[in-house]
Amino acid sequence: MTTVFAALADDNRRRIVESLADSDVATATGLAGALGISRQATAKHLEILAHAGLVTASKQGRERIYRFTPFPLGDVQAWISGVEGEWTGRLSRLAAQLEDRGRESPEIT
Amino acid sequence: MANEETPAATTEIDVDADAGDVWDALSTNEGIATWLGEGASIDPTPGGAIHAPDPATGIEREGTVESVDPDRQLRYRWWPVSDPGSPSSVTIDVVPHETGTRVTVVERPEIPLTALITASACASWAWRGAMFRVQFDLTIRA
Repeated sequence: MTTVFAALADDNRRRIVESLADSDVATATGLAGALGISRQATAKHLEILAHAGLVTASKQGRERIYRFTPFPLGDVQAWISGVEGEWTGRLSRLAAQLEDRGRESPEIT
Repeated sequence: MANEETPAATTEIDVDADAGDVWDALSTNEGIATWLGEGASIDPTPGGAIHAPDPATGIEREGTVESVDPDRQLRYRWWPVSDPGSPSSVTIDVVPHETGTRVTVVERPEIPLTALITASACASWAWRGAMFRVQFDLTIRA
């Protein structure tokens, strides 16, 4: 999940994702031209997106074409579940501490 | 067509204690050490530091307090010490009710700008002409 969010933390990478999503497939050269950034930079961004699982690359003749893959977004749900689990543990300890303290120090009436 | 979501982890618990005691447990060094791990510390002022060894998860975090509304709400940003490029924002609300206090925590991953992922997959062999468009709003800092 961290990888997905880190990959999307860059404005140019988000533009690449959006462009790929709209066009289905694209080459690094085509994306570079469309986005107005160098082909080298585009290739580097594509590499990071691929590492995050957000794009896949395949060879077509002499070209390498890239395709957007939305499946890693399932990782977002995994992240949410993981963080909720962590907080469930923390809040359970918080409640236990406070309730133990309440039993140790009953109110005097 | 947009299907917008803001990814957030939301957790809440009802505590058999009054809001003042809950607030102390959330906003003092002595208090947070009891549930966030020995050695945890917080400076409950905007800009103050928070440090959370959190042995339960094994992830040491540090961060900065964003806002403090005593007895009601605490907001901070934090990130793993080992991965400072992955901050998230945490909002803790404290709401008294008839039999105790409800504590609600919302944690969101933080990205500098709104990331809009538009996934559009069309009509190839697998999709038989179907088109999907999913917009996913990874919101970020207000």
